Amino acid sequence: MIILAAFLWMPMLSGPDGLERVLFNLTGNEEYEPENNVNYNGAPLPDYGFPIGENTYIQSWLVGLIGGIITAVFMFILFKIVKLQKLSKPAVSIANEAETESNL
Amino acid sequence: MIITHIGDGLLNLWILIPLWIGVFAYGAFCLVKIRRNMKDEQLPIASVLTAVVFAFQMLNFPIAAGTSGHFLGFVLLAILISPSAAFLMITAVLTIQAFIFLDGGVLALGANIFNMTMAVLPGYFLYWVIRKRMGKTTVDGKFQDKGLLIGAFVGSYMSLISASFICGIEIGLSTLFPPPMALTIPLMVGYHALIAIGEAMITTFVVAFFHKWAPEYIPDIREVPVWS
Repeated sequence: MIILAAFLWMPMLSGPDGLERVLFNLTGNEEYEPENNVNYNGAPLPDYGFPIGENTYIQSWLVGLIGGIITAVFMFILFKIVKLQKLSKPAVSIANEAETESNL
Repeated sequence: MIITHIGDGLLNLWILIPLWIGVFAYGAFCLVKIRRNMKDEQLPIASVLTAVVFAFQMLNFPIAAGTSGHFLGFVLLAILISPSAAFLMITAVLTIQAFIFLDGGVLALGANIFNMTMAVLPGYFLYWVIRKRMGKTTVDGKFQDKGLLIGAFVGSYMSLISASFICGIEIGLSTLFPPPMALTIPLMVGYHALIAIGEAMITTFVVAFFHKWAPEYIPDIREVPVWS
């Protein structure tokens, strides 16, 4: 996590990225605004920054840290859920064995 | 504004729906594979790696002509865990980015997941073939893993090329975005050919780091089938 945080101290961006650059070249707009734009007021941390205040390096570092923790926890829970039934199978077999033993 | 993924309103619905169906079909396949193959001791490292990929995706590195690129990470995760786990991990990262960080549209999430996981698979297959072919078993029974780093470099480079090619087709097909496919594909592939150098360097560096200091985290290629 410390290494991860140290990486995020680096300047966050230095220009539009690949897809954004292509859209810019082809439309001439800095931000390609489609017609049926949806209003996104609900996101907790829109655009990798806090909704209030200016974005500084410290803020983007903090957002990265929060995002990283959210991602790791979310992923761990997701993997646990995916593998849930497999984990509970031995318990079932033990219960069955106990049942058969008691029947004997 | 940092837009690193396709937003809502860039692609038509008739492009998005087949992509969503493809993502769900491949996702079901991946869940079965994960339940069958993934070991419990891999869960913590997989979660942390997902967070690392999330952080790397936030980090834009500059390339030529005022453009910057950012990391994708599918091939890295596929090398270290498995492609089906990498699908779930990239999907989780993209979902978190869409819902919490406003990066990429919610309707367009299917297209983003498709581009960053399924469209990237040719790169992983290339890595697999290179590593399988170049690895040799010596006379005394030791396995020489010569193709690991070369495969990681070439595979991650080609993964970005194939992803940007497919993304170019999608944007070109869309009637909501006026320029035709003849313009979008060369531009997308052209810029991403440069970004892919950074992607390949990061992937190779991380894989080399694991190979040197924690080789037990890299699965043995002799035991890894193509679809795993």
